[in-house]
Amino acid sequence: MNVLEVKNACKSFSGFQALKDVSLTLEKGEVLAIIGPSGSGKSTLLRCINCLERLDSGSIKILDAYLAEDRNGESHYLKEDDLRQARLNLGMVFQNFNLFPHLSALENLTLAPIHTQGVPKDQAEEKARQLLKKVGLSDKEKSYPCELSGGQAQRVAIARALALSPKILCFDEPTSALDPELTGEVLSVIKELAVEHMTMLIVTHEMGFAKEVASQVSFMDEGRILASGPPSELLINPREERIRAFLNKLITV
Amino acid sequence: MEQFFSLIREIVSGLGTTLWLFAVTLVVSIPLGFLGSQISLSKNAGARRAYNTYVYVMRGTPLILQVLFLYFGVGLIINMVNTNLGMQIRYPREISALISFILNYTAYFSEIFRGGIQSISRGQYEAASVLGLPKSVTMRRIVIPQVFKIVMPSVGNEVINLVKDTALVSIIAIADITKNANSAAMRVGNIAPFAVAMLFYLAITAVVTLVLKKIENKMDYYKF
Repeated sequence: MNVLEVKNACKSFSGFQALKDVSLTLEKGEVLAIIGPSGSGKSTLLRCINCLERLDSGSIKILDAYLAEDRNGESHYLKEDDLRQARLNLGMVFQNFNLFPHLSALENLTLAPIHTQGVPKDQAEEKARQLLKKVGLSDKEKSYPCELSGGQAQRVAIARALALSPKILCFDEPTSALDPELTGEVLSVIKELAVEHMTMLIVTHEMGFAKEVASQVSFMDEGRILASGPPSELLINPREERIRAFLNKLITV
Repeated sequence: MEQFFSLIREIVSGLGTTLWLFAVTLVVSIPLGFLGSQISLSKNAGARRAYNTYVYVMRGTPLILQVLFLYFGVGLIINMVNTNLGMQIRYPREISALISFILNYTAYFSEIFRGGIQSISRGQYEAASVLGLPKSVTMRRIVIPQVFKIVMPSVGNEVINLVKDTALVSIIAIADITKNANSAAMRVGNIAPFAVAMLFYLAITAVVTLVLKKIENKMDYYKF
């Protein structure tokens, strides 16, 4: 069953075509890693799927709902309130965490369930505590983001996204803002989610991680998906010259 | 000694006016300033331009002139209305001064709030958006609490300024601390009343500074 379907997505920023006719599907339980050089459109694709940017043309479908539908070469989005509801099926984890600095870790997790899903406060807190435990931060529920390390902050951000029980979790370079020694703790949380068959879409530069966790890998370049396949194919023995060049550069650097 | 006490009494009788003007201006112009910041950040270009012109005039001319202009300008109109229509509308100078202060301080506060709101990073709005928070909740729960902390030092500056700016109303003969001190000085023929008035202002700003510090400390539980 497809939980996410992107068809013919195009997006330009003042003349620059960031996405050129991108299509992808994501099956339930699948972990798709999107790799590729900087400026290839990976993050733009993720941001478009999350409706942080709007497509010029193309469609986005999550479960049975079209967030954006293509009509005569133009994307038409759901109305604001409906869109907000439909997007709750998507969780998003940012490169820079984007935690709310004035709220404690626990409050970061409970704010959205209380205000968007009408969950009673005590229930929201109970679930938040479970999630903090899951990401190994039970002792940090009262801490503010400024008191957390980068790795801890990102784990809180993952827990915050999970608090809304999304069907798909998106990661935009979740470890790029972290010290190398802190990436491990974040990646192991994501790995654990993969084991639990969470459907995930991960934009990453961590090839080893992609190899280990992803069920599918897509390589993007210049706004297009050049190739997709299981990591064993795409990352170890790619047919495309462009991908080989990209991977070689990563290894030599 | 008796003379000294009567001097103090005379100056103290202006304290109420000074404090009233200070307090009412603050209580009214801070919320108005917030509304103003929303106008200057709105998508409506016409409203934005009109508002920016207002801010420009308020910040670009001396407050003392604004006080004079409003008092005598509106006074003129009201006189005309009264004589031509046989009405007896009163135009208390205290109200005129208050309006001048509110107009002026609203402009300053709205600029402070605008800067504060604009300094909230896009990531905060994006996080709120992917969490499905409606705009009103985003504003109330995420933006405003952070803006509050950011603008506190600048607002504090303005509040201290306001304490001292109230002295300008003596120009339209409102009996505040400064006006009373001036009358007393003219009568007794020395500068002691001025010194006493200064002590009063120092006492007020000391209290205000203390309160501001308390509020800032309260906001200290997190950093950005």
